[in-house]
Amino acid sequence: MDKIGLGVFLAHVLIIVAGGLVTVFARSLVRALTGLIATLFGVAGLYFLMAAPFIGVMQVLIYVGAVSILIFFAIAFTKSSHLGEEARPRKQSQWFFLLSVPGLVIFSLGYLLIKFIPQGFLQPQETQVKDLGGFFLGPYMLPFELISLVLLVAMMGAVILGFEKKIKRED
Amino acid sequence: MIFSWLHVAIILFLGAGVLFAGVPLLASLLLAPKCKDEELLLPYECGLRPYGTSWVRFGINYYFYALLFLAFDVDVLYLYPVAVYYPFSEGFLPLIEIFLFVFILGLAVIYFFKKGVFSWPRRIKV
Repeated sequence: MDKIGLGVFLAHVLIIVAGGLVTVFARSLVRALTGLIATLFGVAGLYFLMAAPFIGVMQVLIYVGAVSILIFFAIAFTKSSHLGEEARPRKQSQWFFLLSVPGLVIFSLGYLLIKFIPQGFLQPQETQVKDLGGFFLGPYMLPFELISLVLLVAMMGAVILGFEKKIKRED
Repeated sequence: MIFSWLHVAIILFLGAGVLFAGVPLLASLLLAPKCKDEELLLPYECGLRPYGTSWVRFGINYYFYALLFLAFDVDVLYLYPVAVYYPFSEGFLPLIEIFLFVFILGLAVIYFFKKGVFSWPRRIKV
């Protein structure tokens, strides 16, 4: 079962990386968003592999479902024509910076992690959704209530700041 | 890494979904007659020739509906485990807590209603 697990993990990494590449290299913003959605799906799969299926499902619900819609709206609001400045082919120096700096960071970080961090021996344990709910209603009562308050304030702030105002016309 | 039969089932469904979407595309690629023309790339192949770009911009207000949806979506994230736990809880305190949570969110709906977010024309009262 471990071998299959590793294979599935690699498949998820493949989905994530492929989605990321589509996101970066797609010429159309909407296609880039589709790549991003694929990446988010892959991350949800990783949550399942880490024995956190609830977080995985919520990743699908919130990121794939809601945040991507938000980003799609943001794309629809911008003037992102395919004839714009960003759509021109990149210069050589841009490619160099694009590949060198993130590549250096990724490989050095990966090397350090593999070389110096001891391998974990703990098996992740799945937390039941019921137990999570018990925490919310028991010891974490105040944060639970504050969450709804924070969301209320966030929504009100968004509406006050951004919604078009009713302007009184002087007749 | 935890891998169980649940994952096998999910992956099987994923594969079935990819097949379900992919096979018609492939079939149309193989079976459909091929012809190329500039005219075929128009949004509508017949009728009036479109003028201007299809990239119209919407009112910013629609973005806020998506934003409100996101906020309520996050609420579901917290309400779901609480709802699962609720049958096992004891006493009245959990009921009061959930009522408070939902009440505060209800305040948001009332506020938007008063402010005119849900009405046409989509402009809030100052």
